[in-house]
Amino acid sequence: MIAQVGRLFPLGLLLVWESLCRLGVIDARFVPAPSAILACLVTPGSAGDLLDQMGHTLLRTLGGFVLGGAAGLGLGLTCGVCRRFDKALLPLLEILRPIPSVAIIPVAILFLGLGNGMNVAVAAFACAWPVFVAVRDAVRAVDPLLCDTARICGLTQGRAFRLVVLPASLPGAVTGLHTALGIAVAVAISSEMVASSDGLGHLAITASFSHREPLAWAAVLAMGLAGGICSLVFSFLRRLVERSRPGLLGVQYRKGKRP
Amino acid sequence: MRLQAQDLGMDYRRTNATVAVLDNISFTLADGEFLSLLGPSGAGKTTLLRCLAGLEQPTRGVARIDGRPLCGATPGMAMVFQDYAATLFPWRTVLGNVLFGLECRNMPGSERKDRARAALADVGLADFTAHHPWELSGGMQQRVALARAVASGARLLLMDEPFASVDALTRIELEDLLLRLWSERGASVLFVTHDVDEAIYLSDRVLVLGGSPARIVGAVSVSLARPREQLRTRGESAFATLRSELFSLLNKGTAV
Repeated sequence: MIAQVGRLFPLGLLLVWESLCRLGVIDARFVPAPSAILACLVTPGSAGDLLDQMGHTLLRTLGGFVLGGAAGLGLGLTCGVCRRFDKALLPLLEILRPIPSVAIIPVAILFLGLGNGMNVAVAAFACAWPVFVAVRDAVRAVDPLLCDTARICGLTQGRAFRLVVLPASLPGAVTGLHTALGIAVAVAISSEMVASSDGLGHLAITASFSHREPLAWAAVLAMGLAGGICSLVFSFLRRLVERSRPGLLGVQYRKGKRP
Repeated sequence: MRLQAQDLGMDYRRTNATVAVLDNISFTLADGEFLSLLGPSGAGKTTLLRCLAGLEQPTRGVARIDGRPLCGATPGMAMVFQDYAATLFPWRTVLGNVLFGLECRNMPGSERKDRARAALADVGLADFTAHHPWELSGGMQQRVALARAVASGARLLLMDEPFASVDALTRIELEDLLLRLWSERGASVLFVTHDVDEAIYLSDRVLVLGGSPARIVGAVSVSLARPREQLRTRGESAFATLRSELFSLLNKGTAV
């Protein structure tokens, strides 16, 4: 029941929005009616353009996610396993981590110039942190009895890491990656707003400056869509893994399955 | 395998003090013997067992296996913990968990699988090889852990209150299963428990641990006939005598 209401909620919101515009409660010059935005989406020129820009944004998101995710994984695993390394690196990481990702855009431009590389790097920087924290803590939270079991069975530290620590910290890592994906979308778009010649962020800014309000709003809606697509794809892949390798991403008791 | 503890002692260093947990522990576990370590909760039984397993380094003394000083994990030794759920890998199937015990063995994959399947059949889980541990009941999970220890061909089994977290009926079942496996495979068993009746029922000899730091306050030989049977053995008059003997030793231990 609640799920059905939840599904219909965005539709209801659009209806209310539309009627408020028609009744003149909302000034359509600043907030165009959904129908106007929709019209903008289906206009041959701009619709194709919108999809095109969304493609740019998604590619940057993906690039940042992969690079930042890999960096966060590597750093998190190393800091989780090796206390000394973690202590040595902690001051540097804790200074870098609170820097807003948008604030590093000027520096990133200095190093990488304007272009895709810069946008991807900024998204990667923002992505790395949640993955780093989640993975480091997941490695530390691995039950010591699991590691004892590996030692008793005579496994070397390297094999114990591969066969025990790595899979045991995977559920935590996946949660970190899911968080990072949302951040990647948001940061890729913000970096496009500041410094890019394409992408949804750039489109929204230029449309707004040139008083094409419906297009600006359409770009914003497309951003939400882009984030939604990313999350859906992630959840889909996650479910595929859960189905083919039960227990790998954490144990979920289903109804009637609990012993 | 023969296990020998010689003047073992263990201190834990706290921030401003050193706490002695174990002191002057000496005993020998003969080849093929079933020996229980009995003591109240918090007496240091688990610490002692972890020292003997090579998981912790004792502060004083040495442990020897077949005469050689113990260092780190020893091939031929297996351990079963109380917290079975935390020692089974949720991402591995039941068979995969048993195979883990053979992970560092140099043998072809098919032979490993045969051994693992045989061990699982031995503990009555032949039909559950493809299940995951979290799909099984507590007693079944502990059987998987037992199968893993047995499959590795262990000659020395260290057991840390293995049946303390299962219900009474399952416990009886697991005790008899353990005795059967022990008599069939002829390994030495060092069994840690806080249950007097369980110690008597299973063992050839019971060592009582007590005091702070923990010492061995007494040893009792159990000469009840084998094979043992739950009702008959526990009903014997010798059983009652042993029980009162052990209880008075436990009391003596706490009084120290």
